[in-house]
Amino acid sequence: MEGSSNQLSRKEGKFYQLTRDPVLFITVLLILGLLLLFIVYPLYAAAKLSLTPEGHFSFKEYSYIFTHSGYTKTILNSVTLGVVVATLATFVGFIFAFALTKAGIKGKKYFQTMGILPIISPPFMFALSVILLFGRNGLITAKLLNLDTGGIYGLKGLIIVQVITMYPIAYMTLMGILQGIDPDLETCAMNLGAKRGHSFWTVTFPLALPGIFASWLLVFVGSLTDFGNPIIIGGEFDVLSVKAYMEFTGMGNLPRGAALAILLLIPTVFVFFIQKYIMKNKAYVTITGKSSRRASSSVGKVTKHALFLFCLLVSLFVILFYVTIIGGSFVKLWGVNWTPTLKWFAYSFDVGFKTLKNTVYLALISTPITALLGMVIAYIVVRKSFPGKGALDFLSMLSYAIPGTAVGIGYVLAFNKAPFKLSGTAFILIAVYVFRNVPIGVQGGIAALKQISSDIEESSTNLGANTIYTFRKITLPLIRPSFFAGATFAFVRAMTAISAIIFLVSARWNHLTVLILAQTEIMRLGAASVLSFALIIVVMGFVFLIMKLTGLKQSQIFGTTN
Amino acid sequence: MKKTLLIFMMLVLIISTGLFAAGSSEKEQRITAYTTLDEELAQKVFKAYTAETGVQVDWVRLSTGEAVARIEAEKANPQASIWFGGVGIGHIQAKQKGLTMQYDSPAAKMPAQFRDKDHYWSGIYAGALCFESNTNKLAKYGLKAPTSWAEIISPEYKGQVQMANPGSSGTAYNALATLVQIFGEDKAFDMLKKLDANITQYTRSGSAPGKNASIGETTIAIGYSHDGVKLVNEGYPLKITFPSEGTGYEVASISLIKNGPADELEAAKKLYDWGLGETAAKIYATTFVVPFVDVPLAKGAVSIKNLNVINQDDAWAAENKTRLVEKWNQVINGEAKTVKKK
Repeated sequence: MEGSSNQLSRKEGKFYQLTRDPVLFITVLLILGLLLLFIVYPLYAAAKLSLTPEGHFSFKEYSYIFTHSGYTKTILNSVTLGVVVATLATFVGFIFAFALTKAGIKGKKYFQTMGILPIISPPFMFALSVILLFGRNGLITAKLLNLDTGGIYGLKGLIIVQVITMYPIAYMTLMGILQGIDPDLETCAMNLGAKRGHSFWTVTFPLALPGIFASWLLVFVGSLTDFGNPIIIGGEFDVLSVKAYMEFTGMGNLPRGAALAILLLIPTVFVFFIQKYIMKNKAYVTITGKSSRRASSSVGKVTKHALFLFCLLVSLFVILFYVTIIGGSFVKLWGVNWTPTLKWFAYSFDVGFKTLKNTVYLALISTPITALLGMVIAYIVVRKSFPGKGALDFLSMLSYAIPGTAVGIGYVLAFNKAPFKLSGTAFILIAVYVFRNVPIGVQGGIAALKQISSDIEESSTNLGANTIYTFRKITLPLIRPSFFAGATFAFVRAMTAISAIIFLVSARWNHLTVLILAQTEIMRLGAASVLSFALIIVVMGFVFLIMKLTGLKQSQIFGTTN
Repeated sequence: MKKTLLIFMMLVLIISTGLFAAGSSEKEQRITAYTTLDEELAQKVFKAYTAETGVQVDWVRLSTGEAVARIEAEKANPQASIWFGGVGIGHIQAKQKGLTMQYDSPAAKMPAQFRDKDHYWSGIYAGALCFESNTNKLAKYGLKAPTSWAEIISPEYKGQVQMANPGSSGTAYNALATLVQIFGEDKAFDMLKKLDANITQYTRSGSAPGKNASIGETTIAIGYSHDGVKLVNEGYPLKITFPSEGTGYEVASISLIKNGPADELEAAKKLYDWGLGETAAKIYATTFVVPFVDVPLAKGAVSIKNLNVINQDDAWAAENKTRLVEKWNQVINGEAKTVKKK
């Protein structure tokens, strides 16, 4: 903290900038208002209900949860699952990233795609595949191995599915970190006589350690807040997100559902703080000017082959899941009657076409809004100085840390009565998409803007342009890649959303993922496969289109999260 | 760069306006419905209604428990005007919570016990609880299809049975309430605890266990007989048995939601009348239920008249739902699970 008089004068200076620039002033006010309304207020509504189950303040719901083994076991389950998945997914992600950055294995381009493919898949596509492959009627378990296992439901199945879904998070985080480690350091170590293994353990690994920790935390949170996989394949293994949903929607016990969602919020916000305020200040990347030399010498031949084999196996496993979904679309009744058929396409068209259309429609509306809002926030955070800037930055990133379950419950509670009657409308879904995905754009925008000297913008202002004009003519073109990256990501996430929107879909505005969930639950796996297939095609088509139109590479689009 | 941006924006605009134009030709009459009918039946019913009247029905399927919870959560700003189908106990509960409205439909001609005396809800069909067993799986494990509640809770069926969660599923709560009405509360919960040891999974929706049994994901399901008969007719290896101690049944019903969208009310009433009529009944009958309107039944449909059904008190069941489900949660989730854990 600085001296108060000093701070005061600085604040006056900031206010001065605001009053001088009315556009900025209005924008800041507007954005702050929107963030408070759509991010903070719903959380407040959920927290309030959980603390006032009977209209007055009490910890009753929380103490009930912590004194009943059904609930404590659920909490323990969530944590156990999170720890196991975070560890395994980080391991897989690290090997992928290491093999691609340091070992120079063959088929690099192909593996890069495999490293991110699961991110653009429907939320529980892998769970569905696992049931088709390893369930009681599974192709592999029942037909090939003739095993009888119901055991895929529960912890085992969840671990497989979540590791496959989430290793890309670890991969993307670690990719940047490993790329940032100057190969010269490793070469030096080896020149000084270290064996390759020794150099790895004493140079590369310690340098990557903060990144490993960061990716572990990210996956941990991802696993904790995952809803789509556990509701399909969790079986008797209750986790917090599903329990909260069941209490809130199934049993109609709103206060307890809200309390469970708030409990889910605690670890995620905690991780968010670690990420934002602790990890960030640790300079763990050794940027000494980009080293362009190839680092093909950091692993030996045997290791290289082993790494290649590992990546290949993981990739094949992932591809198998996709093939299974496609196969499932054409089979009359998986596991019972393998006759090829198109009836699921006819049925899905009947049941799901309207929903698919609406889902795409709302995602398309929300996409440019999300990307633009993200860029505007990034711009004013990086370039402008005004009171409340820290709060704006914090709030815009916060929604990334809030579990979908808490968002969904919060929105139901906050926006179902005057003055904000939004439930059942398309608007509430668009709001969820925009405010849940805006951090991606903000983050990408901030990263891009920091690389661009503000001199250019200042010149524009000096020549008489106002804030909007400068932003539109100078800044926007410069941050175009991150704009499109943010837009693409926003679209993908809107199309594959489930945990928040399952609380908010209505008869008029359903979402395809919710429909897939319903079909899966009544074991109409053929229809579920067709609908998943359709979703994958739409999402991949969109990503491909953006890449073609803008010339962006996939690494530019999906590299923005780290 | 400007060009691509332009192209992109245009594309988004074209696609979205195209979709918008196709997606919502406004001005026409629409009805927003929550339905607890089986997804496939709901599709048939509402499609037929739209074909006949031109009125669009936007619907979403919710289980009975979900529907009540949803309508209650939206009480201040109801989104739907009609709740179509779903276990009668849920409709009684909705009435008791003040979520539905009175409507004396001219089409309500079913026997008095299948409609509300205060005109809050009307029944459309009845169906009895049963056990559905996959015969292939039974043969494989050397089991026989259970024929009584006493049998299905015995340890030989360990890990072979599925039922839905009584919290979210009207079917499962119907079963719970049936057990309490036959055996008394203490004995019933004792039995449910024993049953829990045999259960592999409590599903959200009441018809899911039957479907799982049909394809062998589980061996035995507790569900409604019409769902089972339908699966048998589709060629699945299912055997349907009824518990000898007596069984419960559902009165699938329709209610109008209180303070629903005002511009839909008249249309919703017409849908309500239509839902009680002959055309709709014929469609229900194709899914092996026994409607209260006298229409030709599908082959294999089981009427509750020919079964040993209990003298069911749905009003009592509705009144005690919160308490019984909470108790069930404690017995099953609170204690049994930790005991069961090895």
